[in-house]
Amino acid sequence: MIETIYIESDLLEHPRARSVMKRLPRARVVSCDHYGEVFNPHAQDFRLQKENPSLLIARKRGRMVLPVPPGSGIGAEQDFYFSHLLNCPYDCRYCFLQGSYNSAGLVLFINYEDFMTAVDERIGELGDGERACFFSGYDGDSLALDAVTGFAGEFLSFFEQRPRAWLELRTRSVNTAALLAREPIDNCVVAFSLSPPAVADRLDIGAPPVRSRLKAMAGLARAGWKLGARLDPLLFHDGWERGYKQLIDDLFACVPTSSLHSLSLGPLRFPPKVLEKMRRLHPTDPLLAAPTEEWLGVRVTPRDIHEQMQRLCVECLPASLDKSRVFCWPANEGLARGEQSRLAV
Amino acid sequence: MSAATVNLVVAMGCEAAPLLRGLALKSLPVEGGFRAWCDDARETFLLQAGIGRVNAAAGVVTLQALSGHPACSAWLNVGIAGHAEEEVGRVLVAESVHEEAGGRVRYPALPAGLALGTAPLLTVDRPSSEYRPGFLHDMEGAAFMATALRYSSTELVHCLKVVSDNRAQPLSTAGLSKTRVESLLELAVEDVVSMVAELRVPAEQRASRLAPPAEWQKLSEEYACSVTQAALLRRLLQRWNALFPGRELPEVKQPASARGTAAGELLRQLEAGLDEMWQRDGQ
Repeated sequence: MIETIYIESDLLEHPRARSVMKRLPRARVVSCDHYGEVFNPHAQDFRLQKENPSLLIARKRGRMVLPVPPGSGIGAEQDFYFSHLLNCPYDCRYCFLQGSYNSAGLVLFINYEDFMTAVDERIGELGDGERACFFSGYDGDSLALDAVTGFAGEFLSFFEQRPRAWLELRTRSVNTAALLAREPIDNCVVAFSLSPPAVADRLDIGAPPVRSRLKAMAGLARAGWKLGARLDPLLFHDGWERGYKQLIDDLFACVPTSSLHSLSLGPLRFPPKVLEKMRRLHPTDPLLAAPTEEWLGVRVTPRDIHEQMQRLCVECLPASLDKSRVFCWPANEGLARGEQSRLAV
Repeated sequence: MSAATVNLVVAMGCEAAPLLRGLALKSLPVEGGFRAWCDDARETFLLQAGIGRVNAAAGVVTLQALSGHPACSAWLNVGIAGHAEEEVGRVLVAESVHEEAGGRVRYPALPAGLALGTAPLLTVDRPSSEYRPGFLHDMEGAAFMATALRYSSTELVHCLKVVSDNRAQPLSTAGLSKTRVESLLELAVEDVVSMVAELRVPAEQRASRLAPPAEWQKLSEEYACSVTQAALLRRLLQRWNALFPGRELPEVKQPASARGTAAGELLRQLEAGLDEMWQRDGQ
């Protein structure tokens, strides 16, 4: 439960801020000039804050929409991300966010209209016949706080009118009420991050169990939504072969291949400084302590191991799944080095 | 010496007296014109620093040394404060700490489940009966916080204040004698004791996380590691212990005689040993 809300003082009367505060009536409200005064100072302990994160209501300034890191696309000609939320209420042990920020506070940027304006600018720059994908879950879970933020409802209505743009909602949550309450739209992909339950139960701390996520996917599929499955990162652990095989079987038992827009696979990967910071935050965690290799400027699970995992996952996919919907990180690396990752057949 | 301490700083002796009784603290010898106390376990310390920002900052530095430079310390500034509207005797925790002189604001991360009320705290250099609406007013909090944050983190540094005067009972008429201040602080003893206990838990968690591996000190001295090498060694040892708990470190073969080289060789061989062991057994 959120006990403290920090809010930039000029947003105290903003209708969206008032709506958020109304949904958290027991939280104390502390005003500040700029969220960075709370979020950025160095003398903060991410681990301690994670046990009791506060919410920071702020206005996003500067660049609202950014290009995604290379190799993360799902089929559009251009890929961007925007972040209405920094940080996540879940505490996944391998999440790079904990190495990215000094604070575990959840920053909610409520100037949604400015994000929409920036999305329209990017759409306006597209070439003939080009499409763009806008990822909304890069710096936080797209739906985990949706009951408080109302993000999905507002952005689905916006993207519905812009068929050249796709919206990816990426989540580990089961907060699908806003989606199920309306008709599905063609250009939204509701993407669920998944790992074998044996490892997710241990590492996806605070997130709904994998079986609940699969159930939520099944409900969305029945309602006509396009889904994404994100086996990214692939997590190396005892029994990974059995775990991933079962996960893929369970996934396709719940979700017909016709509902799956895309399935992506990628190694556990961190910028080097982020990994060092995460190791300091979790000095006894074997997952983070394990050896890594440098690949394309980031630290990754040793490639021979990752490639074994990736190969097995691809082999387990049902024959009815069009392989052009399978994406591997990085974009130009496939099952074997040098192969195309977009496994078009 | 405890790995995690809770350190309290007050300005005046009459603020300290009720807390000494509540926390069962005994006197400690200290230099610099301060007075200090601690409990038998040397886990809770209290220092009387004197009034004002300079004294508060100096008090924090002195107490950090006196408490033995623990791996982690929680800090609590306790004292009286004015407030325009709040009733005299109300106990409040600072939700933000504003320094009037420099304009800097700091935001303590408030403890989970805090039952006490909160208010912004403004630290001023002179006592005054002019109150900024909604704010607590003291003379130490901002300096205390700025200095304590050099040794700790924002979740573990807090200011707890008892309202001593307000617009209806301003300083000029509040009659703040030593006896009166002591009786006001009596009202806060239970809350202070609770907060000390509540802060100790996260402080110990943090201390445990920050603690170096058992072998680190010995190895870094034996191999005359530079500061950078010692930091690398510490991380390697932590990774080793995380991956292979209880297993002995790989034997380091024939380190070169030159000191820097020996430490470098130690790091190289440890890393290679870790990779090899993981490839062989850890997967």
